[in-house]
Amino acid sequence: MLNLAKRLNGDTEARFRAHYDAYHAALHRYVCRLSGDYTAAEDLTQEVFVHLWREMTTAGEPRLPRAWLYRVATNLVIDRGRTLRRTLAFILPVSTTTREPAAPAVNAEENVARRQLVQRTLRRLPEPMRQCLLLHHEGITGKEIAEILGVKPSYVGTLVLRAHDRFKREWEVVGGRDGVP
Amino acid sequence: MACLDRETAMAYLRGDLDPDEAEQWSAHVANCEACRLRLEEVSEMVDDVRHELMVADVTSEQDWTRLEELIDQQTAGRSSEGRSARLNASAVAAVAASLVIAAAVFWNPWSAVSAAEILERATLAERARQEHAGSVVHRVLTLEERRGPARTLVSRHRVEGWRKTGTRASARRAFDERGRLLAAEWIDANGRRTVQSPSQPTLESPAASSSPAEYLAAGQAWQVELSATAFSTLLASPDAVRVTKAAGTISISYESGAPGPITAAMLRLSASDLRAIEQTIQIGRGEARREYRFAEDRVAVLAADAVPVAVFEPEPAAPDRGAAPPSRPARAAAPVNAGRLFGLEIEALRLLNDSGALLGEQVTVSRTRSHVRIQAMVDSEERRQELQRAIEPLVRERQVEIDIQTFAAMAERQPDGASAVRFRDVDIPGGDIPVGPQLRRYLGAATGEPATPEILEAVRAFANRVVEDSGLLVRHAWAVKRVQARYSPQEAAALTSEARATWRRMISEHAIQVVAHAEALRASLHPVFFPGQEAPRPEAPDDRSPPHELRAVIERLLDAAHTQDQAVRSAFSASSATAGSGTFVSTTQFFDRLNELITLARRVDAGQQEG
Repeated sequence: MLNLAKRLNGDTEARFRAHYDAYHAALHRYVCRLSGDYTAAEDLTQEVFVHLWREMTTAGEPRLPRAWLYRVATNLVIDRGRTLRRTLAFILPVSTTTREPAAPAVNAEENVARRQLVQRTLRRLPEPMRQCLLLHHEGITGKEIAEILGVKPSYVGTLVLRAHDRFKREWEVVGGRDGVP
Repeated sequence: MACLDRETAMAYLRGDLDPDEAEQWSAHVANCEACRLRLEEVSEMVDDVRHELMVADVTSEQDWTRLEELIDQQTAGRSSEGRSARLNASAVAAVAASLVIAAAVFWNPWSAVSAAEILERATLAERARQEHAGSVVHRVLTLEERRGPARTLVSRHRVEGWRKTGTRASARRAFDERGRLLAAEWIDANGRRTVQSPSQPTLESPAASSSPAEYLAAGQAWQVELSATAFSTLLASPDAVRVTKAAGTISISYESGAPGPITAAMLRLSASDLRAIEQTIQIGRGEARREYRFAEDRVAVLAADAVPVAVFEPEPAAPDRGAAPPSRPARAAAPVNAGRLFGLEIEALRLLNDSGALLGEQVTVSRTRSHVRIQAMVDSEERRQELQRAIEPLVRERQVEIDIQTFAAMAERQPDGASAVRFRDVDIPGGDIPVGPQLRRYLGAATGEPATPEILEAVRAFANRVVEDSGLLVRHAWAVKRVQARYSPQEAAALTSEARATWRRMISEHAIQVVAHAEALRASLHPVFFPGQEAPRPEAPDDRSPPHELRAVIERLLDAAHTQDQAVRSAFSASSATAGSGTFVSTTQFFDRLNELITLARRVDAGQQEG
């Protein structure tokens, strides 16, 4: 009995490791982009895998691990965003929620400025569009996106297209005139 | 058949259409110029967005390490050990201001911005950088003096400047070509200035900074600032100024028709951050003409306590007057700590790299002002011990902090319900892979007959191998980027030659792995889709790319790696079988892209040869 438990655990570990290897880098990138908070992304990604570990050792392996992981990540980011917004709304006066951090390093500055533009653009996309655009760039299939976001599969292509159109438009708005304090 | 609308074009490109429908479109597109253009338009748009997303991804962990340091320094006033990364809004705002100022110019249409405006913004950016306390800027300039109409070079000096941001403290030393100290100037935090030079033995005075014109008139060109602020004081009338833009720089030039010592001047700014990088000032005309050129050789932002205090203190002896043996006081005062930390960091990276930990495991190596921190989150106790053993040589280093944990331990420590998130289970039917038919045919299945179990097994093994190769390729490409982005050119120059060689070797090894996996993919896939044809060869890499292009090459490499991975996964994963056609891998464009990727990886490898 003990032996069996041990073997099961070993299997779970191997399975977990396989998922981890396969998805962790991509998930981290997705979380970075979606949350726009690069310092917290590492922790959030970690949390996603902690959830997976817990799921696998209690309920068992999710049937579609990739979609499961992206769904958890999406929920965690959205959840955290809400908490953060509430906290910021409490602490800060009004409309100073730009907390994109920046480093003084000479080389990093251009990157950071560019990053700010992309983040500002992403923030201007309405919610399912933003996730949809980022999931598309993770190479997630239409059915999986539909499941993750809770939309109809037939709608995904349209949503992806509109998300890109909108990104281009907002990018011009943000990059074209915004920026001068 | 009607033509593709944009929605369908997107679904087609994504591989979301039913196989039958996708096939019909393929046939249609082959003969329809309008649809081909529509597909191109949509796919270009997607590529553009992907490119922007990738550019904005964190390229260097160091950026964020630096940020953490900044935050630390900001909170240090309250608690010296306080590592709680709380953002100090004003601190972030100060740096952000300099970026926003730069970005505004960077993104605006050029012609609309006047020289005066650029100078004003550059001055503001300089101020924002200077006001932001906690670091030391080390900047090395070359100062050349030329005389007469033929512009004969009469002297070349090196001017080394140190400046503590957020305070008035700074030091500046001028050296001749043999590294001998010629003159020096120190300003302490209270603004008290001490100058030592052959013409001014030791002069102490309250700092009233002179204008460049006054320094030049006094024969003290080495004291002239290379900055937009100083340059602004030269301009007699702001209208007589011309702005030109070239390759990432903005030049502001000025010619004076009015009487006065200065006849012409030019300032060059880097377009990305509006930092002054070169300045030429001309005095007099004809035989009396003198020209001073100040060019930035390198600049580094260092953590304040990585720089020895002595840098900001006057040398005990007066500067060399030419007769004494060569002495290099300022060089000896280089930031020893920083060099040592770099060495430890490289060693940590090498050990982790050798144990395969840089290939996508959750491992970070970060450098703070005083420590190198290795943090890792691994999935099993066994792996934890493995990594622990790998970095054994560093365990006893006082400046190295090691924190390796397993997910299981992490999960236990986290209280249940700490973040209760509910998930719906997701159900997607599995099935055949999109390129199943071609693959079965290639592996010997007879047409029209159900495939034998052996064939199915072979298909599965083939698909697994290809997806695995592709995944490894991406991970090695990421490793190239992560390792390369760790040091700026300035920092790389500060590494010991041994450390630099180790660093370059790591980059080179990962680049070679990228090539190997890409070649394996080409060898496996080409015969499947183009039976009997020879696979195209990649172009030989052109000459070695100059170092400043390397980052761009790596960006493109990563972009290409992701594109091919997306194509391979969508063609060989069962989950997308019912959803789409996964057609990109079966096109010649896919193989062209793969070859381009190989060429890029070879260029990265070639770029690692020292010299």
